[in-house]
Amino acid sequence: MGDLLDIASVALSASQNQLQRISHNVSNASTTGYKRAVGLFDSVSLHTANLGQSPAVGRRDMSPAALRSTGNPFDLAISGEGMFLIRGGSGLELTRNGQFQRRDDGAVVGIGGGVLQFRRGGDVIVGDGDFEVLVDGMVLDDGAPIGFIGVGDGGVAGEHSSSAGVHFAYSPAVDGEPLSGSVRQGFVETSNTRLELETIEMMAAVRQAELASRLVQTYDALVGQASTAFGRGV
Amino acid sequence: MSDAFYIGGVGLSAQQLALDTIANNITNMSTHGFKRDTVQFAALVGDGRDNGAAAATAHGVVPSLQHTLDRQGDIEVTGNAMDLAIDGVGFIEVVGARGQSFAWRGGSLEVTADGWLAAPGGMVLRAMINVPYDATDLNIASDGTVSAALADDGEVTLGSISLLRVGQSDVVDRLDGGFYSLEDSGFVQSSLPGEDGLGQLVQGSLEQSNVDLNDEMVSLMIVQRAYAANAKVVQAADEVLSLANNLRR
Repeated sequence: MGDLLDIASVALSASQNQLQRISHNVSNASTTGYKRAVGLFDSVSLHTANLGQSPAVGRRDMSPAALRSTGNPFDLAISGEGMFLIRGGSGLELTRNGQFQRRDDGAVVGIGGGVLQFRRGGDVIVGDGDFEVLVDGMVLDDGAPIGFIGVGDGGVAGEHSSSAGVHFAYSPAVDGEPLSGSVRQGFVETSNTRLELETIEMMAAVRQAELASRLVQTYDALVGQASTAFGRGV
Repeated sequence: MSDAFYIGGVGLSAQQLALDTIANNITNMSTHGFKRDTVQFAALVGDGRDNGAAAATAHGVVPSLQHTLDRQGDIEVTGNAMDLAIDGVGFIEVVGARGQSFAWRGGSLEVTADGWLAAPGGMVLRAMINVPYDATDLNIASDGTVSAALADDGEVTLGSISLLRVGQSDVVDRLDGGFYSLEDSGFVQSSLPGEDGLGQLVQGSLEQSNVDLNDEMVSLMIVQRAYAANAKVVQAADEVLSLANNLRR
């Protein structure tokens, strides 16, 4: 008896998960370097119910977004393939977010405090003179070359996992690999959220939820009728 | 879920790409040597016959971007001897920092510190023309011959610039500054200007972009209407689903 109700509630939960993922994408429509979460539409049944699926798990759409010019020398963007290597609180991470600034001790840090790393590892530390980054990733500290930044994604783009869509898990496959794209100074990469797609997926999720709730109502009415009819007979 | 829903979505994305392309074309209206992009739409058809369907099913549209490499822009005379334009078909080959080949449609030449004739950004011409230190004038003939007038009234021929035949059907990547990467295009024929139907070099001029503002404006209006029509399709599909859901009160 409970099966029908459970299946309907699983359907409602699936719709809710989709809406959560969509709202996550929409709220990050202006986040620099954000990669939108793509829905994983696995079959939903009572036995493989992925009720616990949060928007954190799932594939990211790694397609590039448009670059926006800011004129800030510490704003970097990658045009084409490649990612920035940074050292965050929990180890090495990859990101496309290039909004950096120079800390007092000279380290170049991004949002969240992650320190920009050279291609072969090591913090990028610069003086307070001219900071210049060339198209192939070469960093010039007051005219003197100090190393390369930006790593290739090792052919595993799309398989990097991410919790918030901005920082991606580091994989040893990218160690020291040069990027085939170009580094642009004075630009940032905008979010690749596609509002028209999010709207359509949201509409589909809402219709799905509506139908699922109809199921629950119908089922409820049936059970009500059954208990009334049987009750009368007593 | 209604197919019309998702097909409308595919249409919206395709029109969005067309809009982005038009925006890029208009932005580069004054860029010398720029070749505008066009968006070609092709029907996306899914073959449902394997699953027992009677015929192939429609799945929307596939947009593809094309560079209009064969369309000539207007030649504008600047009078600057270091300006070079190509009148006709063909690209000048330049060499990048790591030895890779790029195609360039001409523009303002410069002389590097070592005396090599190069495109902006230090991209040395494949023709490897070295300009002597005491050269006063640079002369580039329409058939590609480069000569320089020396301070002591002598004239010396430095070499000749040949053109690459890069056409519409070649696969090229557009890069910054009007350079086209030839990585994936296989063998590219190279000849002297004026031979084999290639164009001629025009010194002292720059080629304007081949963007026609009237064309872009008309395309923009069409894209706007198409976008609105696709959105209407999505709305209609949504209403149909709503009706279906509410069949039972």
